Amino acid sequence: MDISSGVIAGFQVALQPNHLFFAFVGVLLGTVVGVLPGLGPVATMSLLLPVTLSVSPISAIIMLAGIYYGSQYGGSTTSILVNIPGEASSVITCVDGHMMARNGRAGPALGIAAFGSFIAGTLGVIGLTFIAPPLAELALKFGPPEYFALMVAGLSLISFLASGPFWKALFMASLGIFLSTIGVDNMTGTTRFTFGILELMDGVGFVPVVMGLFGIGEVLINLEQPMAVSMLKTEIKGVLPDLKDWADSIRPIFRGTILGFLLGILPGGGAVISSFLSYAVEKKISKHPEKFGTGVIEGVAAPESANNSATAGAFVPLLTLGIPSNPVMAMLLGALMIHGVQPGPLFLKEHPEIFWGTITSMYIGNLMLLVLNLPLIPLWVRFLKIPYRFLFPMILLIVLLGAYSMNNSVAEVIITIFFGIIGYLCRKFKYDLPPLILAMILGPMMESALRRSLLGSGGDPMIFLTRPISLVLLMIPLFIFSSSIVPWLRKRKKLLPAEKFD
Amino acid sequence: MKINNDQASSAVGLLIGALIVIHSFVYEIGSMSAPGVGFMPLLAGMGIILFTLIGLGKASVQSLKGIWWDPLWKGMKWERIVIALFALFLYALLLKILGFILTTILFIGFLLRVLEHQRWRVAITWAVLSALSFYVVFEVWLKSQLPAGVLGI
Repeated sequence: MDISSGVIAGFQVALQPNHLFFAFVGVLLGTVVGVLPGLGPVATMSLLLPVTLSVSPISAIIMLAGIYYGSQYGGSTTSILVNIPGEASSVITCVDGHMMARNGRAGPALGIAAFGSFIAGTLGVIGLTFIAPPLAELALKFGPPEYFALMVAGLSLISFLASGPFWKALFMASLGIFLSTIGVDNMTGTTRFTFGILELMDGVGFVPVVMGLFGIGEVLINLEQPMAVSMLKTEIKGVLPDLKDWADSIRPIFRGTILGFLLGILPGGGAVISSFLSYAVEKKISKHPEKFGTGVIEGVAAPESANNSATAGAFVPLLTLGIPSNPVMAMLLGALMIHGVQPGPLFLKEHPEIFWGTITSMYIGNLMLLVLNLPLIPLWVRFLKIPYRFLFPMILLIVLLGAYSMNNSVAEVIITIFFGIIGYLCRKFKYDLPPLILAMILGPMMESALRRSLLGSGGDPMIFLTRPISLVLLMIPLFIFSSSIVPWLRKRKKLLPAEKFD
Repeated sequence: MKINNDQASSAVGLLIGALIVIHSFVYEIGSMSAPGVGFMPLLAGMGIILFTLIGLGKASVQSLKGIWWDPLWKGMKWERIVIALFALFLYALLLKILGFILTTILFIGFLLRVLEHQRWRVAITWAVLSALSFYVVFEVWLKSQLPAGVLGI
């Protein structure tokens, strides 16, 4: 199937009424969680994973993808109006966005954030449409050694970009790999580390773990230090940017789009880093860098475009290689695997309807977001007024019910609460959760690739170094490890913002 | 002897890693040419030990420089965490016995009344409305089989 017929087939899938409904629900929920501080896309997707079991895989991924890119739209609203980023990727938008609001220009700031997001999101999806199929063809040449090397590289990058010390991130990744080995071994059928507990025979469930770590863990942290949100007393008028606003913004939007898409593809890269870097680029090349921070529209347009196109870029490695480049993608991978669908090089051939349906639904979703966001900005602002004291019992209830309804088992609920405590303690002791989640998802694939590689080579580990693609991929972790002893690279890492998804 | 946060957490990590490594030998480790089922857990356990040892070393150097325990719960409302966890475990315990609706009303009502000091009327109204709405969504719409318990629904 070539690209044009794939796109047509994709639209036939995405335009079906039930898929339109799930795309709408996804982008709507995404915008709401983007608006609400303290509830991010990973937490929301983890809460909704059990719900997706009752729908088809394509409906599930359309909705979950909608939550992801929808949250990037919504995140800017709180940044601009309240100076509290709804999402980590909207942190930098606070700087000029909130200053614009204080200067009485909240409307154009919100407007350009929405338009920039739409343009970047759509262009990002076009990029995805053309890059994903040839990359999937290339990935067909990958054998177990290349896959193992790719996953090691991805995990190393995620760990390197974690907000805390490198050793903590690698500890979490190792722990995630261990957790993935619990249960029945796929190659021999032997059970491992189950200690006779029946519920562990199928392994530690991905859903209870993420719901506990992100859902309960996040609530517990918020409970010990209640959030105080104060609204900016300003009237929002004229959300349509004028001609001067467009003239100032259009180039930053396109630059942010390209940067965001390219960074989104890289494992470990993503919406957060791309938003910070695009802001830095704009400030660097601006004729009036001193005005950045005082409320310039370029400071809103560039990062908001970058974080949206990064979401499209992040789909490239997931759909073509089966490798999630960030925890949100790991969540999507988990959702597909629950449905028995394995993304990777054969994904396009085996499930063209899901592949193209997902991509084309994103075109439609981006259009829905533009239509939703501009007229509904006052409504999103009202969501900010929901007191957390009424919100958190609902979040806990969704987590508990989601965990229970997986297998109608109270043991799953207790496992979820247990991981909630782990998530809380990890936050207190500053251990990043994303490396654990990613390692847990990649663990079974890594183990299989490693064992197959060693079996195939007669136990010779040089197989990873004698194959060119594998060698190149393994150079990435080597480069990263060397960075801990090279001062210049250490300094570079400090300059990068932390990737936070919860 | 004063220890700091990273020393404490990496010591716990070290213990976890050691337990994983020891228990991996219960399973077949195999050889490089034919890795067994214990091979990957062993590697993961060794990774945990390696990285926590690095952490322990770094934290010990910090300790020598005078970076000691940072009181993580100082100024925090930690008692709210204990109450919330108590409510969560109680929910898990009572769910099958009392059933979804009754347990949920008690759970939400308890959190709002005890943790958030809401008035009885507000707590009870919100709890009943929440339980009924979730019942409609999960039981009626999503066809989840929520426990009926003493109420029989």
